[in-house]
Amino acid sequence: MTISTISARRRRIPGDLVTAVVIFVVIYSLLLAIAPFERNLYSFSNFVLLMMPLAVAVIGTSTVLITGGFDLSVAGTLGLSNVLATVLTSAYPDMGVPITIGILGLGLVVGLFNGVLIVLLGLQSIAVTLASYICMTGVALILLPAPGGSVPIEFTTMFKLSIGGFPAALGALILLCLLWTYLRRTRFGATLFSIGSDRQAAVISGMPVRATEVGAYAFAGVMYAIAGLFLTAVTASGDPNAGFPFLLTSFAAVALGMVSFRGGKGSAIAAVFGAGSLIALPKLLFGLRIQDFWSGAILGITILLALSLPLVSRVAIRRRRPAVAAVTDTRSRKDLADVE
Amino acid sequence: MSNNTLPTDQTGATILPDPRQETVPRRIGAFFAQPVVIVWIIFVLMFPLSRIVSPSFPSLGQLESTLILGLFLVVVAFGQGFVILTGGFDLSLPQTIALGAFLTGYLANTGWPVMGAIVAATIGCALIGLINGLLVAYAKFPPFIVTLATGSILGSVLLGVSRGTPAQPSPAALSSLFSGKESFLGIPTPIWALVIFALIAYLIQMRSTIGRRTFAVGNSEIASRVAGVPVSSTLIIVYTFAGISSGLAGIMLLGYSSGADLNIGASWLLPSITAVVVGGSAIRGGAGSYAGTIGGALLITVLGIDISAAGFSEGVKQILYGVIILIALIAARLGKDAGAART
Repeated sequence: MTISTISARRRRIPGDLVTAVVIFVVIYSLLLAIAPFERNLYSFSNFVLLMMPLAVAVIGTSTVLITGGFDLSVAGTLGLSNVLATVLTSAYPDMGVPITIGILGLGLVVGLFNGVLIVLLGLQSIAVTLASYICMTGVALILLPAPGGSVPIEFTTMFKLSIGGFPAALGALILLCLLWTYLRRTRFGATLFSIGSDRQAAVISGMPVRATEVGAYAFAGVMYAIAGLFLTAVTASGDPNAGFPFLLTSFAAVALGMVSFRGGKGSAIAAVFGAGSLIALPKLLFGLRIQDFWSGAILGITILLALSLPLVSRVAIRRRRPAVAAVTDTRSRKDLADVE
Repeated sequence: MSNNTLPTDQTGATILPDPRQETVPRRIGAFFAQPVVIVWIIFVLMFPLSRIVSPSFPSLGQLESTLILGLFLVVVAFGQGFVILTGGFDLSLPQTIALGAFLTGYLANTGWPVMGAIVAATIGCALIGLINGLLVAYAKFPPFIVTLATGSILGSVLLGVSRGTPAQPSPAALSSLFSGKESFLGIPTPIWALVIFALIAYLIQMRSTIGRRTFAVGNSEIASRVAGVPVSSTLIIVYTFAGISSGLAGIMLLGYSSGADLNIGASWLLPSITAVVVGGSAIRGGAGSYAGTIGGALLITVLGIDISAAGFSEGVKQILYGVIILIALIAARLGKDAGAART
């Protein structure tokens, strides 16, 4: 009863998703407008493959963020998954499928490890996941001390499969988004959001808080492992530090996906669009002949602008429709109270 | 919370058998259960333990190089720890370090007096902190993402402005001061810098009005506001201090390595957070001590020296780092539970 009302209410406010999609559509259509060579199926397919690692990773990052936690292990699991895939497939070229399953299992185990330490021992999520990130980088460095290695073509094609010109990866991404939408409507999803908005209330109302929180980290771990596999397919090599850039880009993508950093709000699908914006932006700047080194500045400004969008729309709504003002006001006051 | 599981009983039993009575041994027990004390004890124990990795350890030289190398982490961890105390993060730290180093080197090489270049670079870095503080305090953006964005912008601008210029060489005066070759009263100059910086930073964080306000804001922004603490200006000052300390670290690193490229700060972000966490601070803010952070920074440094001396690979080094953070976290948790059991 309560759970269904919660999810029904959530379903009616897709504001964050709309904003994230609009940001992506603006950037991507600008890219198509100025770069004629991007206007074909082949380029689109490449774009999808390029954004896959980040897009899958942010599904995990945003799920944890919704519970009010920070998961820095994204960089570690992703990098280790990349290195393991490289080392194992070059040693056993025809074991592609078992290796893939094993790596997904590794992601699950790492996620469970994080979740158990955070939930059962009551440790701080950002610190635990920082530690597991550093440990996994260490393991990756032992397995593969320097970037390199060669991934057999059978393995990369498994992920770069294309059906009638359309990348199968896009299908996989859509499936993951559907899975997330489904999860969101289950008891697990409802609990996820409740933990983020008011943990105490979720505990009192008898929701499976601990199991759900551990589950969120485990789910995220599997996502990072998948992201690492796609990264391996895209780069066709291993790099023990491959995960490091994702530490920052995954949170930047989540910000562009309008997921709240205070928990309780947000959509992983919006975060996927955020990842798309983040991948399209440098391409757009390249098309505009803006020099490479400015892309960081423009990325930073874009993030700050995206952050200020809710502020702007709140002010606009208050001016236009005074009747709604009261509602928005209580919401913003709640936001204030949520500041840890 | 509902976390009083097995480990609590264990420490409760070993350190504090009967929480009701205050006796001398119990007080000693409570003293040793503090994260700050634990960190410093482990740090001191590291020296005799160093013998395992190298027969030439422990030595005075080892202590000396620990303190010289530890200087930079002690400085960056102050800014990071101060920000963490408010419940935030400073992810713009690497780029701010690079700005401090680059600006000092650049200005000194274009004919500015060294002191003038240092002051100008410090002011530049303070401005970065100020911008972070304004965005966090007034726009109420999450610090994590604000500093990520400003860091990204700053790094990009530095890259754009310095294009074509090779690494900045350090002015000679700065190199001699921070390379550890000069001594004053028989003690290398960087160690003097460490002592002076640690003392000032300790006074700012633990003994000044702004320090106390920072603790208040970190514990509860709402309660601080109600109690009349100027929350916004406190946040702005804290981020400005963080900018200054990153800048100073950049200037010192420029002198130490007698030159700086724009990646000079990249390797300091995670250690800065690690030092704060190992030092026993709460990562969500409101609790922590700078003495603990110094202990954490020095402990990480001596571990790094030992691990290098033992000839471990980079991979093993990383794993040990990670495990140490976890142990520190769990120890802090147990210490807290023991403290909670006492009252």
